Amino acid sequence: MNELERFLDQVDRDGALAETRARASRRRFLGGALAALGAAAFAARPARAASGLGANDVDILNYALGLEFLQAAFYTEAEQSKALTGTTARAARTVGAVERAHVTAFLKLLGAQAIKRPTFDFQGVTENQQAFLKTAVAFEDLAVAAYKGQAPRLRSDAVLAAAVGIHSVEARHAAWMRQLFGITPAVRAFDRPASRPQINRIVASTHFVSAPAKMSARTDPQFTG
Amino acid sequence: MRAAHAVAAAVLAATVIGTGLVVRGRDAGASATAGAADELQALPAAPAPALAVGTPKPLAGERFRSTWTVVRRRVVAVASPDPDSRAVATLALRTSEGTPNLVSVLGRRSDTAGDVWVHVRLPVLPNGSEGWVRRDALAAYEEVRTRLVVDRARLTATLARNGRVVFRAPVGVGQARWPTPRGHFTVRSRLTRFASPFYGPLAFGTTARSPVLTDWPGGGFVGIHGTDRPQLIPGRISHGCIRLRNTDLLRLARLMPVGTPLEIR
Amino acid sequence: MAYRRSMDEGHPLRTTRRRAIGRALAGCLSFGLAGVALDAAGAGAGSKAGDARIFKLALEIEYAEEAFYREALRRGALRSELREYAHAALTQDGQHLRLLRTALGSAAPARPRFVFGDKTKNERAFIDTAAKLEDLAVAGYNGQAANLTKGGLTVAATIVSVEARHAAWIRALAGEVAAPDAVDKPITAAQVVAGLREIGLRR
Repeated sequence: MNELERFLDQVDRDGALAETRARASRRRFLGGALAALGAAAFAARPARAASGLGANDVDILNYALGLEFLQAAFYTEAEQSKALTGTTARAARTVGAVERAHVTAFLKLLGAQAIKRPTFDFQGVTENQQAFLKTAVAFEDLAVAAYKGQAPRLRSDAVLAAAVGIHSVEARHAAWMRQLFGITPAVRAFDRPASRPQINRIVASTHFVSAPAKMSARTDPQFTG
Repeated sequence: MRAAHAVAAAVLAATVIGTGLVVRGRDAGASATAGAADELQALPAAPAPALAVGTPKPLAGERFRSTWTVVRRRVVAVASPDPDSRAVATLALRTSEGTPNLVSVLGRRSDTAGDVWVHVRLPVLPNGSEGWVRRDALAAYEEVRTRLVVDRARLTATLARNGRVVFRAPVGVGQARWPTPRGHFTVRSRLTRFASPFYGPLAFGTTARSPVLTDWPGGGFVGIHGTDRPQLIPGRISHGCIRLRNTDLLRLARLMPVGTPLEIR
Repeated sequence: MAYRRSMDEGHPLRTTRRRAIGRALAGCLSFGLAGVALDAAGAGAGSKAGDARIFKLALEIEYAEEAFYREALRRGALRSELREYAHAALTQDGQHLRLLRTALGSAAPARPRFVFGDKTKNERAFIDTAAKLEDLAVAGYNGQAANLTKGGLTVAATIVSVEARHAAWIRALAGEVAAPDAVDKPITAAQVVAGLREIGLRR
């Protein structure tokens, strides 16, 4: 079972998501290499000390950047697919613009130490309104848990200040997507943190992290000439 | 949650009880006001955040964006987004150039079961064929903002990026009996390091097919490539391929990613 | 609008999970506490005394929220989806309140007096005030993040995101853009108190 749904058990109540998973499990990636490449995209680069930022904080910032890349790409592709309507479409536009702004800010701060932008294969969840909402809820709750888990590990006060200011915005997003999906925006009084291994496992289980296709070859042309 | 909350409270209590806080006066509430200002002053303002997040911006230039992807399992493309629709063509995993089989994405639709179907251009005859495949037959979407237009009357190739022309060059196209076909296609592969000087330093594969040379090895696909006879360009000289002088081709190759839509007029 | 699959505490399937959650939360708090005991350095490098001050401030916020929602529900002038929101917020902010009071023990300030006036009766005023109060909570907690110890921050983090969810929820119910901003800016402790006074705090 996909760990994304396990993590957000409340979304899987009536088995609707389990059904989606059953369909998706038939479509396994043919190349394990692709998954490995995907995992590499989420592994922190060996961090050298940048001006003002220690290796620990660079590592955590890159980790957050990976999640922001994921979210930005998700909302952007959903908007571009034109599969969304009404208030959901408007929410995707607003949240997508915010996540893209987050990405830009992280890239500016990290400079040459930023991880590369991964390629994402969303396998249709950006092209169907219900699938989009389910996944959006999952991503936002995931981002909240991730920021919450990492914030206490930051060394720099300035980076912490930035992290908490984004963490609460992701929580607003989570509530918004839940409301649109029709489930309660706030499930419990105390939101839970998640660890990096937990988050990484969940992201990897979606198989959304892909790699660019190799479109060059060294074969002799056979064109008509 | 009560169990967790009680634990949390106990832990937190252990944290703060050790402070040796003195409760000033009898009424903790009232003196909280008196002491409040001092206490608040002891709490510094938040530091400036390390990240400067700019104003969120809407997507721009969408009209210049084109989407492509590759097939990730052999699949039959059908005429409409419905499993019972008639077959149009089979898409193999690889092209005859040996590269992943690229398709341009024209749109998508969900069927009644919630499955996503994608509308794609097919690299089959007749030229301009389109069909629908299930989303799970395709890999990650990639995008380009470039567009190549080859004008057979003017014998020019023009590349635009975000609507702005960034490249123009004369071309050779097919002779009358082996015409370069008209229509909408995609640049789908890039071949390099091959031996023959006939094709120049590199060659791009396209999804365009010769309507007459159907028995040609590889299927008779139109390429965009260089030449060992540059003096013939511009001209109607080829078996259907689009030929550029080698220096022009190399310039184009720096500007044009695979996946670029190709319009042949 | 009744939420399908609303996750109330009494749900039979959640009992075993509640214990697991308790262990998990205790686990991460123990980590935080260990962090405090062993390593006072780190972001903020706060102190236990500092944490106590901050949690007193947080308690004022939770007192205000709890009182506001309680009064709004009592006055009974809200339409059903707003009532549903107020119930959830009351429950959750109530739990925040009890946690902070228990933790502060005898150092906890007593419940203050609030005068909300029309803000708990008129729907438009209720919505505006709820949004303002929840935003105040977010900005107030965020403003103290760097002042807290690691353990204190861990606890505060589990609360602030719930306040943010409330803020987006009430805006969505009002038909507004639920989350227009890219970041939530912090405010100072003094600004929190000033904001609470404006809303109705009469300590």
